[in-house]
Amino acid sequence: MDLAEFIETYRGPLIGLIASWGAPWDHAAEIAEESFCEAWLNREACRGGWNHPDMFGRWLRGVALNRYRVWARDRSRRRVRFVSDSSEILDRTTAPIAPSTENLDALRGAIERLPDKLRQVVLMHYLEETSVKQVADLLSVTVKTIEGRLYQARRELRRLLDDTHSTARIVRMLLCL
Amino acid sequence: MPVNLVSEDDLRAALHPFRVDAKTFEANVRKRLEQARQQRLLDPLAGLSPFSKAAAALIPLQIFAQGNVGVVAIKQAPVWFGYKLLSYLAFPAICLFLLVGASIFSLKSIRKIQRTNLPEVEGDEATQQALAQWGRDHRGGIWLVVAALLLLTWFHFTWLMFVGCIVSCGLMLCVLSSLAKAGLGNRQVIARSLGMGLMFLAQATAGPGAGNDGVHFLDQGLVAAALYCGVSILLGFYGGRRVQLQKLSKIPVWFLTVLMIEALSALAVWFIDPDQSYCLIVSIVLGCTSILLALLNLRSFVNRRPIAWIGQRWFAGTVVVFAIPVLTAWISALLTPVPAAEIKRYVESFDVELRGGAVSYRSLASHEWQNPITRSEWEIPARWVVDSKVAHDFSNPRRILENGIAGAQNPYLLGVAFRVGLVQSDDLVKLRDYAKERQALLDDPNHVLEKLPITGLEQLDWVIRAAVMQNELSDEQRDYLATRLNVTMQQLETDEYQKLEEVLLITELLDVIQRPIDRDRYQSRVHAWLRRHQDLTSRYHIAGGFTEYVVQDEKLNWGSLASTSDAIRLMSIYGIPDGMNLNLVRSFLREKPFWLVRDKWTRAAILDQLNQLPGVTSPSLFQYLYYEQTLLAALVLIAMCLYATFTSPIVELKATETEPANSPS
Repeated sequence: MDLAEFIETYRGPLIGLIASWGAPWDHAAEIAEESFCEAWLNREACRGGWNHPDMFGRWLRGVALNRYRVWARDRSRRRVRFVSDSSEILDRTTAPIAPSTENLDALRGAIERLPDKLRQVVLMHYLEETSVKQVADLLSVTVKTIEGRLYQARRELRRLLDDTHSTARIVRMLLCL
Repeated sequence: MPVNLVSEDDLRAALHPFRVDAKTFEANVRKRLEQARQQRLLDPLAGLSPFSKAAAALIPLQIFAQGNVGVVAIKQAPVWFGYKLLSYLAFPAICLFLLVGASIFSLKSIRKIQRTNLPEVEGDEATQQALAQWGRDHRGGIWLVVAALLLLTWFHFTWLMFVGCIVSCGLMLCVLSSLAKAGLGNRQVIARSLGMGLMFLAQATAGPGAGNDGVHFLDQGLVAAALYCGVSILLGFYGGRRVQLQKLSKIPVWFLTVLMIEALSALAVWFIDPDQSYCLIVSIVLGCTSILLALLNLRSFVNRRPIAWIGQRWFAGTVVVFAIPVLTAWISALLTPVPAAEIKRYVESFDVELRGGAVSYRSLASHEWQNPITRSEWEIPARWVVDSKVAHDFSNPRRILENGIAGAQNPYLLGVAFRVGLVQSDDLVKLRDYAKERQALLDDPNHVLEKLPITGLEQLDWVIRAAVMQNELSDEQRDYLATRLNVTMQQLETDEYQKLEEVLLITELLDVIQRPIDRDRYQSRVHAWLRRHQDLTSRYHIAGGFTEYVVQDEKLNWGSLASTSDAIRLMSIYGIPDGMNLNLVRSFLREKPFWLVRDKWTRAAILDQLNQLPGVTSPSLFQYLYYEQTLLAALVLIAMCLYATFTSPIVELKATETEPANSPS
């Protein structure tokens, strides 16, 4: 596996994973770049061999977690306002956001309200066209587990969206009255 | 009922704005990589923690640099005093584990390169110079560490030494892993350094006196053996991917000759005394090794080239194949208690004919050549068999007794035979000296000798027992004997050559003549004698046993198995003295390695006697772990060294280190 292939394989799920921990999207991308750099430089130290995707995925996740912790510590030391509430993840981005429809905004809001494990796989899998296998390698779980979580996440999202729509309809009706 | 799910397209569309540009991302990563590489070249230690930086300042980094001479010029940034203090704790391990190995292998490498006349000598010479400079800078500290290690071992603080080593080694491993992350060091360097450190510790713990003091239930030779095993495993990584054996022509002929002579000597010992089966194993191993080396030497001489290239795995595998069976046999011999059936078989098979038809070589130095069934070798396990009421057949020892009766009628042999019950009524008429000895002992019509102690009681023991067996003692004679035995007992108080054997004989003989001793009267006295005879602080032998005699110079008070057996029999009669540490006695009776098995049945019998004492319980698992703390500490240290080696990165070595210049790639 060369560097380009390595980045291409893990870029999307890793940024999604870091974002799911609580980093804003632009910072998540930076942390991911640092993690790729450190993991590639020290790849010989990866136990089990860095050519094995499952081993290297776990190794990369560990490196990224360490980088994320360093970033979080630095941030708290600088006393920059940092709220780790996961419900604000998607709002704190500085990336250019394309004009969105009302439905997509609602969907983003629903993703924010998902339980951690479900939100994690959604961000990792759907951010880019990443295969379930690569997500599973990065999280050190089975493909079946990821598939199960994705299914639960989509079902939960549907429920959340339906609840939101019902509430909005009721509010509108009340306003009409 | 169909489940309504959010569509995947919607999810992708929702997250699409957060995607990064792939090309930009890759370019950023490559840029960061380039910066990191530049940074590593300029300052390899930039990413280290403050503690690692402080500890790295104590290490001559040249040994990790692999020819990168610029590394040594790096100056460490000042760190907090606490980190410096912590780094000094790692200093002993750095001295012990890193520098010894690094120095030796660096010198070896220089010599090899000089022989092959290659230019790489500069790097190794620089390493050697850096080490020499480091040694000059830290001379006091190095001597302090070496002296402390040796003194702690010699003065029986091995446990403390291992605790210090473990703490220090743990800290050093943190530094090593940090350095490995920074690209300094590799598996070969780490294995060499740690292996030499373990070798030093193994030598220290294998020295005389190590493990003799204190309570240990396992033979402390295991500590050194475990350390040597750790060294053997690390040996597989000394040469990188391949291990080069020396040219056989360099192996001196005298070495092969000595190996061969040792093999033949061991074979001869086994032939004379088949009981010593370990000699056969030693003979086979030494013989095979010397023959193999000789054949390889011959081939090397004929072909005029190095003997062989051995792959790392093959080398490690060979070491393991040899080491594991030997260690397993050793440990199993130490951990497995000797079964009762084996003690019985040993006692029953004790026969001159079975021992090769010749007098055992070890008996020539003592009176044993006249008396093959001695107290320590036969009587103790035999009495244990009799006391345990195990069905037995003493026909072989009976034959020795018959030979003895037909011959010189050694009084010691007769004493043993009477005490164990080998003598039958038919034998009594054959005892030539019986009448004379009996008369000398009992013919005292005026009671002149009544107030005098019996001298040489162990030689007259059989006379009294024979008289009782023949029912030739009147009540008066029994009283007379009882008086003299009591006088002898009282005289022992002031006897310079007081023996526990004599105390036991008196007690038993008074029982035999049906005039039992007043136990309450003598209890405190016997307890004091037991305490006096116990060897508590030994330097050159295992502590905890009971001595034959008590002499002024404590160094000469060595515990013996016979005296320890007597002490335990006395404790079963008079009770256990207050404050007597029975675990120390157990420690003295611990199993020895399989090549010292001559007295293992005696040890097992005495240990069982000890465990049978009223109110005595076997040690718990916690006590086992507590008293074997040195061994556990050594195992932890070995595990740490192996962990450090296996987790360090593998770096390809320079061709000159692994293969000769003219060898085909």
